[in-house]
Amino acid sequence: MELGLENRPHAGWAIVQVSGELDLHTSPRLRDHVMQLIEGGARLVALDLAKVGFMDSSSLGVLITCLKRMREHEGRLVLIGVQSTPMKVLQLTGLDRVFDILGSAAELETH
Amino acid sequence: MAGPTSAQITRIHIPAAAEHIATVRAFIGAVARHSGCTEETVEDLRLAATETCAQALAEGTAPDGIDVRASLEAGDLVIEIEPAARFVSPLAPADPLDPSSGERRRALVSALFPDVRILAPDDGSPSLRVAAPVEDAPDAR
Repeated sequence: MELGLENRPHAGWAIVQVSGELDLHTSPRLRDHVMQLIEGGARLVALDLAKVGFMDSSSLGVLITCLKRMREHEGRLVLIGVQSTPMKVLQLTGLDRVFDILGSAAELETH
Repeated sequence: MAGPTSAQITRIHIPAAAEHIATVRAFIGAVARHSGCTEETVEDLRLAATETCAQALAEGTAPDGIDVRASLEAGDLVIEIEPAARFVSPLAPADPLDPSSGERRRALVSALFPDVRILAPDDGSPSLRVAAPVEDAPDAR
């Protein structure tokens, strides 16, 4: 399944709409995409995972890499719309306590 | 209704490349749903298989590809992956931001299936075996 990555601005945030499945094969594309955003000056980035039905631990490594890079630039990286299976992966690894996880893009306006 | 009692084996082989792990997920998902596993179990099996294949590729234990077998045994759907990774025991990472990828994968698989069996002989290929309950499998017998 192809990984979809689409940018859309919202309330000062750069939202990356991700669609498809994130694994060892596809997640490097997400890493490169987010790194380009950060290098391009974005400091508020939200990954919309509402259309991601599957995510493995390789993808967690990518998310952590992106989070660390964003923190180095004193920016913020949040996750929104996380579905049940990816959320389970985050919870089992304890990373649900590390990432800011919001229910929807509308919550970015007050976050 | 009683679960399946007779063994029935379905298998696939994938080349040793990350792009083929999605094929394993599709295979596991189809077999597990057909066998009558709950959707939560289907997703757990898909995740465990993905982690195992990814780690096997990372460790280089599967240069000739990976075999995935599914069978019905006494009410359980049994998934066997060989060669698997050399996972040996559960190890929860102390720092969730900084475990090695192997530790994270091993912790995940063990959390999903506490009874997972990983055979890692010194002189042979490691293999992984997980068993998941089947609620109703009339079509799979």
